[in-house]
Amino acid sequence: MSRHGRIVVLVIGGVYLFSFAVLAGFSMLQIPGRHLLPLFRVSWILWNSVALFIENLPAIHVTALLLLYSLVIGIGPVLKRGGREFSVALRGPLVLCTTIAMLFAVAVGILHPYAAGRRDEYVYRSRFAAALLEEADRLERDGDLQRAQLDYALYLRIDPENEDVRQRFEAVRAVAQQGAQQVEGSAETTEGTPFRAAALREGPDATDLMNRAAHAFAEQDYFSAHYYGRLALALDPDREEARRLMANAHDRMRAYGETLEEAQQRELHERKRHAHQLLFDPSAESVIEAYYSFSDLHAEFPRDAEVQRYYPVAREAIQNVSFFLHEIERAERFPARHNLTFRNDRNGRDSRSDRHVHLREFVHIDRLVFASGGRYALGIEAIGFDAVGDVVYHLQADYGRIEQRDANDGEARSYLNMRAVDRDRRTVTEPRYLIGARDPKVAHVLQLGTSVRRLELAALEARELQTAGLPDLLEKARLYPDLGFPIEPVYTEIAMRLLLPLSLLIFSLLAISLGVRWRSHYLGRVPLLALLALVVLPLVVHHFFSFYYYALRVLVSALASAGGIALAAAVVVPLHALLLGWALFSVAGRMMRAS
Amino acid sequence: MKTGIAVLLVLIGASLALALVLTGGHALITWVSMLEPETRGPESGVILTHLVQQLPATVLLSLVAAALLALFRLLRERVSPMTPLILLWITLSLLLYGGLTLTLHLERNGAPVASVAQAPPHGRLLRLSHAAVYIGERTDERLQRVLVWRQSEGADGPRFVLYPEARYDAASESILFPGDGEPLSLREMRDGPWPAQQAPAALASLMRDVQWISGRLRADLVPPPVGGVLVGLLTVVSLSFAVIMSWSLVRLTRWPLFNAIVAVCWLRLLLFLAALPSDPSITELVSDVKLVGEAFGGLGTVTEYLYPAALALTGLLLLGLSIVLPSFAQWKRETHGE
Repeated sequence: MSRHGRIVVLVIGGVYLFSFAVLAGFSMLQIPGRHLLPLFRVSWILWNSVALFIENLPAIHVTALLLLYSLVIGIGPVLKRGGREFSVALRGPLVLCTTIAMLFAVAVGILHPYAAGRRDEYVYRSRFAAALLEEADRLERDGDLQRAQLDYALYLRIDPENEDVRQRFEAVRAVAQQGAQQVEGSAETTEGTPFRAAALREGPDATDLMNRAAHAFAEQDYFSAHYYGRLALALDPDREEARRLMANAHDRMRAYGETLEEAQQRELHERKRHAHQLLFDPSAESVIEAYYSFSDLHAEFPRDAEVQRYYPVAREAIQNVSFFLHEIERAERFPARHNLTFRNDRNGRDSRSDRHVHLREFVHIDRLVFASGGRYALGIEAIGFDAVGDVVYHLQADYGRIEQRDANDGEARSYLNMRAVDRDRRTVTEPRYLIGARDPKVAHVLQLGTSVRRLELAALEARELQTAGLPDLLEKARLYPDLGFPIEPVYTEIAMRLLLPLSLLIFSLLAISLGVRWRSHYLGRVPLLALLALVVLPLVVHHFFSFYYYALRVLVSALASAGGIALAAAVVVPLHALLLGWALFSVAGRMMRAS
Repeated sequence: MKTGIAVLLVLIGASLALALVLTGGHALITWVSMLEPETRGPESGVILTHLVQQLPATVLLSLVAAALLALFRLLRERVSPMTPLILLWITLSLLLYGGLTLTLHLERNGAPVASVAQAPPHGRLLRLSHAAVYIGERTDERLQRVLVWRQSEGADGPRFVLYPEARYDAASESILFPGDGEPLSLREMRDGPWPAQQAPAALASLMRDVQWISGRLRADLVPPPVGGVLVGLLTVVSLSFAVIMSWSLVRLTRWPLFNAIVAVCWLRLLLFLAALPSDPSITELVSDVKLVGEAFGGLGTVTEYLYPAALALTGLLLLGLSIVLPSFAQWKRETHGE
């Protein structure tokens, strides 16, 4: 590498390093201490510094070039020898500036979103972990060791080096394993219908379950026979013999003896039979009642084999038609997005005229919580009105759980289930209809037009667009029109991201030209007063770039608003090409004058 | 003399060019503010009227910036800078006085008062800090099917309200609802095409200062204030003097880039200092001084001259610096070997 090359690399590298160090120092002051696990502190500082560095890279780079050409290269032996050597000194940096502009494009498009994402993720995970720990602590105190164990385990996945939590986890696990004989199941971790989940736990396959059902029937254990028959059917719905056996077992459940002991047994038998019957009723109310019945039986007869079998099934079944209110209490500690209002257009039925209408539907959610057990919405309000402005329905609900289910067309859709069960008070909270009504079967459910992740993305405010990454912006461009949000700010930001590297190249060339033109004429050491420039120059350049971004944003948003992104591109790209040409001629002029 | 004329041409040309650029920028911002995607923007008359309102600030800013460019042009000359500087000072004062008087004249002769109002687009959900609004249809001021969600602390009632009709009031940039519905100000809008015009803090504060100074100068130029037009004239002349005396800074060191940065920072500081009387504490201090002055035999009117005197003093300080610095000829020799 030539002497000039070394100087260029040294000065630019030095300014970059110094800037990174300053930004790292600034990040240390910015660190959200209370919300950040000690484990993530260094990583947060690092990624925040990287994100800030990329955001400020144009100002840093232009400052470096101005210092390089006005203070370092322009003085001393180079100036004395002048001419040819000077023009040689300019060639390398031209290649360097082009390379840096290309790297900047990659940094803006990929590295910056990644760095900002990592930085934000550390805060999110720390807050999530804090909520998990708090919840696990509470569950441990309440004696719900299974759930406490789960939360501790989740916490340790985030912070595996925390010995204190690991010890607590081991202690809870040891105690929980002692009581593991009582099969509680884990409603949150199984998928599919409750019977299918139970069948997968019990079974290896439908044939084995069917054999167990037949054996139980032969032993006159009709509850078990019915239970295993149902599980076999869950795994193999075409198994007719299972249906016949269930029907026979159901009939036999009605008959029972009449001694005193048998009378007590009969009462228990009747309660189980009633609860069992409710559990198989398709209506949501019956399933909720079945859950309460099995919950009572479980409290009174914890060792009863049938109760032990059916209680977890009932608990899973109730989750399909509602959710528990205590899940919300649990979720409230977790990080949330606030005040999300969006359009949720779809077709609906007018309850008054009983005809299908295209509904303009809007939904508001006070808090959208992302907890370990699921996604929850708090403070829900929805309104639907038709084309002439007649309100078809208007509902409010305190709580909701967002579920992903397969729709009739086979596609997975998000639903907002607003039926909450308070298992302590034995009440069911349904959405309140202030105006109109909807089909009672789905009155507690709102189908969402978009996924939960996209909703979270939409919850970001417009001002956050300026720091959003290009991939997020592209997704928002698809998402915003569906949710009813204005699209122009997103188009503007996408255009800004694409133009920034080109702007950097133009201003780099202009900085070279300006630096040469206004180069220092001190032949020896620069006076101390000039050191002030090292502080003021970056600030001035930074403000200049903020003015430039502002002007460019105004221009792009005006063009995008008037004629869409195509018009904006048709004007702004040639404009940048002209500026680039001017910058190149400017540098070439300096090089010619120097030689 | 030839050099002086060349520098004056730079001042006039640059100020016109800058005024055009600033006016163009203002026009663009105004147009975007009032843009409705369906109607493709507001009428040109409305924009023009708004530009006239902004003209005093534009005149002041473009003249100050052009003066700096003219000073840099003067650096390239080999002659003694005294005559060109005096010419620059006189011309800048005249242009400033003429420009501001012209804006007064335009205002007096019935330039209509335009209100730049954000046009509420329909068919989009607009988010405010404590509300969200969706306008189904809009015909001029008449809005139909307006859905509003409002945040209500602790209240259990419905927060979504659908108004069959509402009215847009351009003067207050608000949506007015029938009955007891509280108006909704669009100035609090968090999204829409508008956030693009939220100027960076540094630019916003610069424009605030420039607008205040131009307003103050215009107020002083309207007869008859206390002290008459003389105060206004003195203020214009002393401000021009302080600006032209930036000459000391544009040749402060043998590193022109550094000098340019210092000069730019100085002019920003000068505008900040010149707008300082807008601060309530300074206003209070000035009124106290005025009271004291009146107590000493009607010297209260003298306080009116404090402002131009302070500006002139700033210019004199820079003049002093210029005397301390090596001569321009020596500076030229050291930097350009001439």
